[in-house]
Order: sequence, then structure tokens, then C-alpha cells
Amino acid sequence: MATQATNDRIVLLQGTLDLLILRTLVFGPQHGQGIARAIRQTSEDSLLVDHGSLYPALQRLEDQGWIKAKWGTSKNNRKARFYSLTAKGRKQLTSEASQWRRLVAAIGRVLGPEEAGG
Amino acid sequence: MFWRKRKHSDFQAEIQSHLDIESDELAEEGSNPGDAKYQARREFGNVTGSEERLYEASRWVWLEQFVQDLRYGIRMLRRSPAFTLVAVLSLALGIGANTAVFSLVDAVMLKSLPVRAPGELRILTWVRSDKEPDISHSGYNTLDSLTGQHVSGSFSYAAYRQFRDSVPQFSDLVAYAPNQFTVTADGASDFADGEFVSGNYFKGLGAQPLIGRPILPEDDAPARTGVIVLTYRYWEKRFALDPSVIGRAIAVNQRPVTVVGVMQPPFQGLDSSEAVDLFVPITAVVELRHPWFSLTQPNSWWVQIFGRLRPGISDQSAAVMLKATLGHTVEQFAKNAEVSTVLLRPGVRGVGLLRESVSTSLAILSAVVGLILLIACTNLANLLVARSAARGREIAVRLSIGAGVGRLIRQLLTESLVLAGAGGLLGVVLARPLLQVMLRFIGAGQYNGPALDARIDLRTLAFTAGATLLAAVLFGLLPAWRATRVNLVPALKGTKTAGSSPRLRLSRLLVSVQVALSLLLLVGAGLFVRTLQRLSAVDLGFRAEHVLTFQTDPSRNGYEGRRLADLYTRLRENIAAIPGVDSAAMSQHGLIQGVESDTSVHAPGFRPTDRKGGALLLRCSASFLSTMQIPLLRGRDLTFADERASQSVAVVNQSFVNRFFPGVNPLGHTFYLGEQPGAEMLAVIGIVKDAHYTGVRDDVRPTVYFPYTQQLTGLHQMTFVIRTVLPPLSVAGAVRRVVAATDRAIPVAEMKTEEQQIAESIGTERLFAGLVSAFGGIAALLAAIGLYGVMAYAVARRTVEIGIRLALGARRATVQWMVLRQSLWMVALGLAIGIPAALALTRFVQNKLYGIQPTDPASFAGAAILITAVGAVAAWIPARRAARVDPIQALRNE
Repeated sequence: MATQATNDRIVLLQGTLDLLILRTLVFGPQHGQGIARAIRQTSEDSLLVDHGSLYPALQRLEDQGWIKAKWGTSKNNRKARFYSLTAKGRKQLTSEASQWRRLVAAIGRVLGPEEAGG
Repeated sequence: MFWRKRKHSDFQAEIQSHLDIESDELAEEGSNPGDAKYQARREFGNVTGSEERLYEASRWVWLEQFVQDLRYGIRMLRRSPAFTLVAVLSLALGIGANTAVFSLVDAVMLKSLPVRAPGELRILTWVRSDKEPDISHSGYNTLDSLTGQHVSGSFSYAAYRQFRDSVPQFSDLVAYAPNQFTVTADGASDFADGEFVSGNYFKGLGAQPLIGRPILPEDDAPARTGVIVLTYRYWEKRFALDPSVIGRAIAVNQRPVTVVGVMQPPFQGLDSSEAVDLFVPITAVVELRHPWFSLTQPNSWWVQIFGRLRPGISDQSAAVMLKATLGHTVEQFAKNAEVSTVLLRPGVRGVGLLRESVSTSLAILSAVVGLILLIACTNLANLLVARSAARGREIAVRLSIGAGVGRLIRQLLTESLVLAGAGGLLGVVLARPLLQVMLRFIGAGQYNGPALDARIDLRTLAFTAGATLLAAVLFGLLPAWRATRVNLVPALKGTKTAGSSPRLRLSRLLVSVQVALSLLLLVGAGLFVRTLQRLSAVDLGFRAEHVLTFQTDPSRNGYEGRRLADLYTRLRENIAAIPGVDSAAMSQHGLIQGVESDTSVHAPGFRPTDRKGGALLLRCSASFLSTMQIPLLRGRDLTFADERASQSVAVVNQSFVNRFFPGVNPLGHTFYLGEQPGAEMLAVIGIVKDAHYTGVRDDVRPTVYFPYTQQLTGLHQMTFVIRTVLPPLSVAGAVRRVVAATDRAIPVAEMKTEEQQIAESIGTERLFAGLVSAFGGIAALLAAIGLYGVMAYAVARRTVEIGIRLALGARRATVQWMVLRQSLWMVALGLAIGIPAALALTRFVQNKLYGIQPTDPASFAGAAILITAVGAVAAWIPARRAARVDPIQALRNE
């Protein structure tokens, strides 16, 4: 199924893409396209990864030593650059995830219960 | 390139693989392959943009762009070699001069002592007062700048021992005393400056030897004083770095000693004002029979002390304890006296006597070299503004196809950095000889000169790098910013706007600033040159030409009293007999050596015109006044008979008569020296004209000349003066041979002409006059280049306008004058800024001037005329070019 632009899509907040990439890589090495697709599918199509941001983000994470990359072969025999989580990245994910959860909870408390009708 | 972490192609491959995989999956999901490919691409968005962003996320990009800019900058500079040459040379001079002066400032003012934890060191001093004990004082007195108190740095040896025993706040207390020695090695004798040091000196300071061992506590016992340690510079100077010097037996003041070690190069003792040659255990003052330094006399104060404060101990508590201990030792020999306060001064940079004496000179030097760098930067900024005008089109093209202003400024600044970098590198090369010249002048006229660890080292290079960067920003930023603010449309069309553009206004202002800064230097040069002229024109009262001098001190070779006096008489006679020598004489201190003896004077029955102030003393031989050609006014000169006679006599100068015998003929009257009325009376036998004694700058004071044989107990060193028929230095060898024939172990030190001595005594003034004149000349030249550049550009821009004027009948002389007038306006504005600035600033150099005021009209007028003339000459060429414009040619170009 081809994705379609809908109004329900959420624009990613600055910095959250890093978190999502790290989280996606917990399941094992993945290439860029796989990561984008995985994020979209896990978020049930509500998060659309801007590809223009994805690769610079991967590069940034790699520079920070949270992920590492090497060229490999994809499942349908295409050459692709596979990214995997490093120990440092795993630690970073834990701390960023818990930070994110606290943030979300706090913002939720401030906003209060969702008003009906919207 | 090695720093390119991932190749661009690698990014492309990754994105391509993304697209491939996506379209594969889309195809699997049911799209037809062609659509899938298209859809994957659409899904992805802007592929090229993404590639670029990915590429730029790489942290090496800025470096890569920098290298690009660098290459481009170098290429641009190569294209205009004349500009590059002027820029690099002027910057090299500015940066080099600043580097040299910084290394001097660093050595004198900033560097810590090369010892362990120098921050823990304190200098022990006591505050001078009326109630202090009557002591024989040898050492230094100084004004403590922090507390404004007069302090002394000398203690008795007993006090030092007491401190060590009963002041636990210090982990180490080390003692030393500067002294001059006669060293005899390899059959030659010479003076050497050294320090007597306590046995714990090196260990307490944590100063390590380069070879051998330092002086140890066990060396510092009267029975075992036969060891010395050398400094590196003396090892180099006297023993040519021969390592076999360790263990060699040499003689210090005729006593045999063994060299046991050589210190590491930077260690020069604790006071940088005089370089140290060697260290001797302090108890050797007994063995060497030092005339003043005593280990036992409680009123002989000559020991200087450094202490290493224990961590966590306050200065206050240590000072209290020291004062109590000192009070106790004073009580034992002077009942009614007391020492008011013990003051601990920071010892991290050693005793700061040199710092105090040269800080003004260093400030002036820093200001001068700062100015020359500023001038070079202004000049360069100006040339760059003109260049950016020439490159207006190129920059406009870049801007119009989307180059960022920030990126362009970065590129232009990189070009400045290339220039500054080249200037900085060349500057480091220039700094060395400049530093050596300055060191030679600053240390001139002293025996060893100051112990300055001034060299081009890492600290200096760090400073140079900073100065280079600063210069690049200073001269680069304004033109770069200006260059990117172009009006695109006319710039691209290549039309020349008439009238004066803002860019030209900026250039003109910069030229005026340059003129103003150059004027400052030229005024300074004028003041220092005229000071030097005045100093050279001072009538010293004696004739310095054809006089050779040298110093000696046979008292360190065991000669004393009458034996020493006889030796001096014999030496004088033998030297006077050398062919080519007119006459020979000697005095305790040489004239214009910066050393003097003074005392109070009482003439019974007479009231001095000035109660305060006594007279200067000069012990001399019979023929001294005639050898120096100090004219006799009345009475007679000292004779050889006076040297032997029992009657004490003296010749005095005119100032002495004016003060102590006002209005009478003093011949035959008597006076005594010092405060004791029972002292020996001296009869005035002659009056001479006033002559300078201590220095050229010092006023002539009342002076007493009396035979050196009259007080034999105080007889030590002498300076011989030899008036020659031939050039003075031609008899130097013969003089050495005569002295050696009398006694091989007698040193002949500091052999030079009297004229040399006088020139060295005003070394700082000569340095200032020379350096500031040279820099002033260069500044004027740079101002001329700047002015020429601006006017040449202005004329080129106005060629058409000038052509029209000429076509309409303007006279060529009028056109020429128009250009000249504009140049002169720039100069005039520069003078209007520069003259008030100079008037405000020159008073800071007042105490380096002599015989003129800091507002000296001649210096100001000279500087203003010179810079105006230079400006007129620089403007002459473009003015003539303007007058020669061919109207037809000019209009055809339009």
C-alpha cells in the first residue's frame, strides 16, 4: 500500500528522530530505508520520516559513536549501508527514552484531560 | 584528501541504495516497476538537496572549505606580487618587533623562577625606620610597590640562623649574597659575578644541576668550602661547555676550589638584574677573608633570604614569628633599637630590582611596536579595501548566484589569514636579531648585564600566533564586510559611479588614521633623537677622547693596605712607561660608570648653603685630574708627594666651594668627612672645574678628590685611565702584558675606551633613538604607500571626469593641484588627529627625555613637516598621471 499524505501526520520534533532511530536499531542492524519504513510502520503511519533529515541524523549519531555502520547486502540482494547500535548508543537510548517519557507525562499533566470535540 | 571521512560518492551510493530498496519494496507491494521507481523518488523528496545536507553534516566540511579558501587565497595573492610583498613585509616587521619585545617583557616581567613550586617562595624584607639599629648594610633597599614602604632585603648571618632554627612556618629558608670574585683558570684571571649561598640553597629551591652536583649542606662548613658551582652561561663563556670542568681545580680570589657542578641553563640565581657566573658556599666568606661580609658580627647585615612557606600557612603568621625572632637578635647588640615590621614579598619571580628599573622602558618599547603593527594593519586594511573595489565584479557575481555573505566574508578573511600567516612566519625570523639588538643595548655598560632568559620559545610563539590572528582580523574584517555590501546591479554592469563612493571615503579615513599613527612615531623619534643629541652635547668637564680604561681589584689576590697601595703605584708607573701612553692614573670608580661614593661633609667655621646633602668622594692617584683633563681653576693638583705625605689634602670642585665655602677663597681651609668631629681634617689645596662623575644625566654635585693612599683600610678596586697618543685600544695588549708581568693573577677586566663607557651608559637612549627612528621611517613609508594607493585608485576612477574637464578647457596644472589638494586634505586630517594625540601621550616618556620638554616644538614641527612632505611625494605620481590624461582617449573609453 502506498502511503498518502494525510493531515494526521505529525511533524517530528527536533531531536526526537535520533531517539526513534536508536530505538529502531534495538531490533538489530538496519539500513536507512529500513529504519524509515520501520518508524512509519511502528507509528502506524502517523510519523513520517523526512528523508532529507534521516541521513544527516544517521551521520550525526555515527559521529557521536552511538551507532556504527558498514556496507552489507539487503534481503533482496541490494548493497546497503547497515547501521547498528553500539554499547554507548544503548546507554544513550535508555537515558533519552526515560527523559522523553518524563517530558511527555509532564506535558500531559499541564495540558489536562483532552477536551471533547477538538 | 586524508581528512575527508566519507567520500561524496559514498553518500550518493547510500541514497541510491535507499531508492533501490524502496522501489523494490513498492514493486513487491504491487506497483509496476516503472511507477515504483518514480514513486520512491517522489517519496524521498529532493535527492540532491539531501545529498548536500548529508555531506555538510560531516564535521570535516568546514576544514575542506577552509583548504579551498586557502588555495584560492594563495592564488589571488600570487596574482598581485607587489601588494603581497608590501603586505607580508610590513606585517613581518610589525609581528616580528612585537614578538621580540614580548619575549623581553616575558623574561623581565612575567616568567617565574625556574625552580620547584616558585609560588611558595617569599622574599624576607624588613621595613626601614628611624628606630632601626646602626648597622653596616650591604644589599638592596627598595620601595615595596604593594605597601608603599621602604624595605631592606639584608639580614645578619646570625638572624638567618635564628630564623632557620625558630620559624617553623617555612619548610626551607635559603640565604645568598651577591659578590664579585676574581677567578683564575687556565692561567688567566678575570672578574666573575657570583653568589655566596647557604648549603640548603639548591635543595630548598629545587634547582637541578645539568652536570655534576649542586652545593650541598655539608659543603657549607668553614673547613670544607673548597667547592663552586657554575651557571650554564659562565660554563659556556669561560670553559666553552667543556664537561671535563667538573672536578677541575681553579682559583677563586687566589683560594683553590673545585668545580663540582653546572646548573641548568635557565637558572641564574634569584635576582635577574645581574647575571650570575658562579655559586660559592656562604661560609667561604671566612676563608676568602671578605672585607664586609661577616658570619659573626651582629651589625653586619648582608644576607638575603628566600623562604618556602609551608602549604596552608598564612604570610601573616610567618611574618609575626620572623619579627619576634629578628627583634631578639637585634636586642643582643643594640639596646634601644628595634625592627618595625618584617614584610614578606612574593618570590615567584625572584627579586624584582630589574623589573622596577626597566618597566618604563619596556612599556615604551611595547607601545612603539604596538603602534608599528597597528600601522601595518591600517595600511593593509586600506590596500584590501582598494583591492576589493577591483574585485567588486567578482564578488557581485558570487553574491548574485547565491553565495552567502557569511561564506564570502569567511573566504576573504582566509585570504587575510594567509597574508598574516606569512607575515607571522617571517616575523619570527626577524624577531631573533631584533631581540639581540635590544638585549645588547639594555645590558650595555654593566659588567655582566641582566640575566634575561629572553628567547624565542613556545610562549613567545604562542604570543606571535595570537598577534598574527589579531592582525588578520584587524585588517581583514572591515574590508571583507565592506566588500560584501555591494550594490549588485551597477557592479555587474561594470559601470563606474561618479563622485566619491563610500568605499573611497573609508580609504581616505584609513589613510588619515595612518598618517596620525605615523606622526606619533615620528614625534617620538624626534624626541628621542634630540634627547640623544642633548646627552652627547653635555659638557662632561673632562676629555674622554684617547682614554683607555680597565678595572682591577688585587685585594682579592691577597694584597692589602700599604702593599696594595704600592702595587697600584708600581702598576701606574709601568703603564705610564708604555710607548704611546701619554699619562696613566686611576680612581676608585671610573667616570660615568654609574657608581659613586658619597658622604656628609663638615667644614668647621662655615655654614653650608644647603644643610642637606653631602659630597661625592673619589679616591684617585696624583695624575688623575690632569690625565682626565679636568681643568684646575685655583691652587694646585694632587702630586705624588701628596700620596706619601702625612698631611691629608684634597682637591674639590667648584660646586663644593659654592656649597661649603660660599664667598671665600677655600685654599688652605680644612673640612672632615662623616659625622664624627674627631675625624681626620683634609686641607683644600686646589679647585677644579665641575666635571661629571656618576653619569651623563646626573647633575654635577660637590665632589672631593683625594689621594687613594690616605685611607688604606678601605682600599680595594680601582679603575685605571690611560691617555694615549695612538688610538686607545692599540695599547690594550701592552697594558695587559705589563699587568701580567707585575703579577700574573691580577685581573684586567672591562677594558674599553672612556668614549665606549659613555656611549654604553646611555644605551637605552641610543636604543630608543635608533629603534623609534627606524620604525618612524617605516611608518612614514607605509603611509606613503597607503596614500599613493588611494589616490592612484581615485584618479583611475575619475579618468573620464578628468578627461571632460580637460576637454572643457581646464588647465593641466589645475587638475594636478586638484589631486594634490585632496591628498593634502587627508594628511591634514591625519595631523589634526595625530598632533593632539601626541601631545597627550608624550608626557608618558618624560623621564626618558633629557634637556627637552615632551611638547618639544622642534620634534612636533619636524614630524609634521616630514609626514606632509612624504604625503606630497606619494601624491605626486597620481597627480601627474591625472594631469597627463588624454581627453580623447578618456572619453572614447566611455
